[in-house]
Amino acid sequence: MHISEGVLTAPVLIGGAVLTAAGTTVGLKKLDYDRIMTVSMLSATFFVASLIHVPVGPGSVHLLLGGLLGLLLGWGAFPAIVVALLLQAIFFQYGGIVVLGINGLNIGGPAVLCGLFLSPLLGGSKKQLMTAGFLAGFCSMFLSALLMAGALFLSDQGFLHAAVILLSSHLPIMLIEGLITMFVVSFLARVQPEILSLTTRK
Amino acid sequence: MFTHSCLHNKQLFLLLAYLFLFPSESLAHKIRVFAWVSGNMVTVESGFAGKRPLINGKVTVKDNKNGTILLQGNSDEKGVFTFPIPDKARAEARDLLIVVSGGEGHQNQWLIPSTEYLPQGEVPSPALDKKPCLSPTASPSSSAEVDNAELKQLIEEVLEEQLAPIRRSLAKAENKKPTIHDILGGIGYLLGLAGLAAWLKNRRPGGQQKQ
Repeated sequence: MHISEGVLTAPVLIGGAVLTAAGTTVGLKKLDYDRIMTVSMLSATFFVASLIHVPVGPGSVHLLLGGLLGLLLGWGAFPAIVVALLLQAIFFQYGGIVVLGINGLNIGGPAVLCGLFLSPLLGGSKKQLMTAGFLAGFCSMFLSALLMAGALFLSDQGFLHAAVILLSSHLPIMLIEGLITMFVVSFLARVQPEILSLTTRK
Repeated sequence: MFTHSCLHNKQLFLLLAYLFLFPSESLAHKIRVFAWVSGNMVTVESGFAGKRPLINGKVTVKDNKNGTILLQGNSDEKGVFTFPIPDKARAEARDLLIVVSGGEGHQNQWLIPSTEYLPQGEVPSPALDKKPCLSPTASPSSSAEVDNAELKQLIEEVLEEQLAPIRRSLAKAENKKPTIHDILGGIGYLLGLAGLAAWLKNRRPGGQQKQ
């Protein structure tokens, strides 16, 4: 899910960086005192989640858990993801500093979007809660793959080909993400329901 | 309802246990490239971090000076691609930049400086002089030259054999997996940042909030 350095063209990189900077600023503005620790812990979860790999065909794909961050943090997921991506680039050489902007947009954007749309469901019945969890995991991954294909297309790497490969190879992980996010959310609803109300509370 | 969620927990646990216990050998999303020169050929080995080779990866060999593409090819099922050094690059002593792309936005590169494949300063004469001294049954110079060529090839072959394990261990050293230090370091940074943010937010312009 991390685009390497040297693949994308400058306009795509700059565009991604600008949008990511904007998203991060909004996320930081909306971040209140009570949520700092939650953001940091979920950022750490995201940081580690990408080390968990699931073999698919000749390659393998890894977890992102962007949907979970979006659900629990709303806009706060943006800075959490960007910081974790930066650390992944430094420690694991996943992605890179130059592509941090576009990778942040590809992963953070869908996470925030899913979070904003689906977090109202968290306050509902158990069924609604689990649906929200699954959809957040599934859709954030789906949109990330789509955005990534878009970024590759804008850099003349062929959209349709990349989109087909990306979406098909990420389909299993989309389902797994959906299930994991669903379980985590329903687990939190039982053990620590106040975490779930953080995004909806204003 | 209770048993239902218990079942879910069990499934989740099994899934997570599976993911942690049997991580795939490859760590996708980072392509490793390792290339070396032997004789007139360059061998490029590529794969994902870990052991899994990059099958059918697109290998592009570029002139490092002006970026013109010298040749292209695909890696085989072992992640290996071999190509002869282009005459053009040899003639102009150009550094070869090997870019390996795995699609999906993942790529990495390896640079082979011209000094690695060009003979150092073309010094065949000392070898020619020494050769007759080494072999007591010194033959006429023309056959000595032939012997030299043969000998050179023989040495290259033997060296190649001897160097192969070293190359492999070098490639392995290049291929770094995230270590526990990296992971703990990253988590530590994140918690530290949280502390920093908390401290910044806690500062009041009027003075201390609590004693």
